[in-house]
Amino acid sequence: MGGKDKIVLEEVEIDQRKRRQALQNIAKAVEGKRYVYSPSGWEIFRGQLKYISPFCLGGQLLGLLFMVALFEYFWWKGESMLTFLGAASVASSSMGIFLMLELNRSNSIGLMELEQTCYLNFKQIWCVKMILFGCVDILTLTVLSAVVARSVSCGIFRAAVYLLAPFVVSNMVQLLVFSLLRGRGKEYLQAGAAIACGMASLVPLCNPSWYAAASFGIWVLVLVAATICLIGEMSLIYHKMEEGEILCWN
Amino acid sequence: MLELKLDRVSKRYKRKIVVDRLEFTFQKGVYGILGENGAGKTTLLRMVAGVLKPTSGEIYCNQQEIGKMGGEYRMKLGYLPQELGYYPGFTVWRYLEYLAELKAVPPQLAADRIGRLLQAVGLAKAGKEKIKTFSGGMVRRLGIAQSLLNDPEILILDEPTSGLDPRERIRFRNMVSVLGRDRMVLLSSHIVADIEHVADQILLMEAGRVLKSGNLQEVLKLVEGKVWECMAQPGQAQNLRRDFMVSGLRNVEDGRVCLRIVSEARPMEGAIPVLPILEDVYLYGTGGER
Repeated sequence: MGGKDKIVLEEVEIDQRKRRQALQNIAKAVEGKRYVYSPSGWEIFRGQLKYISPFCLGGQLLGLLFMVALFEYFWWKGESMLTFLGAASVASSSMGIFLMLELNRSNSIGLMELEQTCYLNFKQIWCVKMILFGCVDILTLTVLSAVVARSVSCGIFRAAVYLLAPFVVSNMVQLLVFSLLRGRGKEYLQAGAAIACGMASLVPLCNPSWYAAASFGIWVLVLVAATICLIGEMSLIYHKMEEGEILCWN
Repeated sequence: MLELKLDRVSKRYKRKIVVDRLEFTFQKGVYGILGENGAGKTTLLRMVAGVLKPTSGEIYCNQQEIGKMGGEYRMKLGYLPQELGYYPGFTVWRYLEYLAELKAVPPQLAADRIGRLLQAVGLAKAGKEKIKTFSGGMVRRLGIAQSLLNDPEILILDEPTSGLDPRERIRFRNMVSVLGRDRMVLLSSHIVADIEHVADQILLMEAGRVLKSGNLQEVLKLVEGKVWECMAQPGQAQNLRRDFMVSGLRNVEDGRVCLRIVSEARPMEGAIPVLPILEDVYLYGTGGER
């Protein structure tokens, strides 16, 4: 047959035995093939949302609402700028506790070892939780900064630094508690650490000159130092988790 | 063909070497890992499950390093840890739904699969109960169910039968035998009888190394001609216990003691050689009674 000759399909003779064999082989290959399902980012997010502790997420959101209501009350009462600063500092240094408690949940019951072996391992679950809680934290800090800036008349950037410093220091301390202690009961110590940080954030209020423009550089330095420590701690914990020993209870 | 290859895998905790340059290739079938406490069984299984990172060496699944495979490897995996973690407030059904999501079980298949697995482990009626109300055996059965949620190609079970009553153990053994037909099952246990019943291949581990591996007959050859049975007076039996590895001891009606001894040489006059069982190998491999 020449290269230019056309083949008419209807005229091609089909070997029924080979056809059956080929179809059987295809069916077998299809049966042997595993159905691989990989959920989309949104499906993962929506799925995890169902399992996040209502206490932690609700606590975080209620905290935000409570602060808004409290500030409204302070406006109405005509409280001084120190009252606004004090309340906002305590709130910003305590609110990280909800994320830490949520992250600690699977660790405190020994579930992380099992979660690490799943398709969506604990690192991915943690990412979802950190994004979610991080968004609420940003929202809360923005609202608090705006209110403080208005009451202290210092500009939103300075107000944000005044609130971010206790927030980062508190998270650093709580992460330290997380990485140093293992097992049940850790959540109480973490809550205790958050409360202690909240109390400590009131210390600068004893001397209002700390909030003067001349001292702003010190606030920036504290914030930068605490951020560097926090990043260092996070990378240390990540390394420990990569090694795996932190995931296992025994 | 599924293949899992350990290439000179070691794990060290500070100065202690727990798994020492292990080389082994697993394929389809049931592998029973035997060894005393601290032999490195759990550490080995954790490394294969991707929980622990080897200090040195690599683990390959079908020629690909498992760390680089990431989610693709974990998708093939079912794992039952020695201690099963669970949220105490979760019901059985919610717990399995949660893990089904993590294991990327298609949502349209999850409910049906959870139902079937609960049936298979005898917890069908307990779906709405909270896990914190469960006995140890029930938690273990739940653990077995969760390990099968994603229909894994590689099933890793660390001490799966601890806490199970004899009926549950038999049910579990039968289940593992069926599962081992078309997948790889790695099973560690202290209960020698479980390994003897279900394992196609046995790995005897000691101090982080595989002392002996093979099917039951091959492993039994390790102590062939070294297992003896003899009768002794109680005082003499005490001396024999001190000097030899005694794998069995039973009082008989005439006041004497029947001993089963694992020893290179005949332990006493009148001792007769008997056929070995896996417990004899275990005792021989792990250095006898402690």
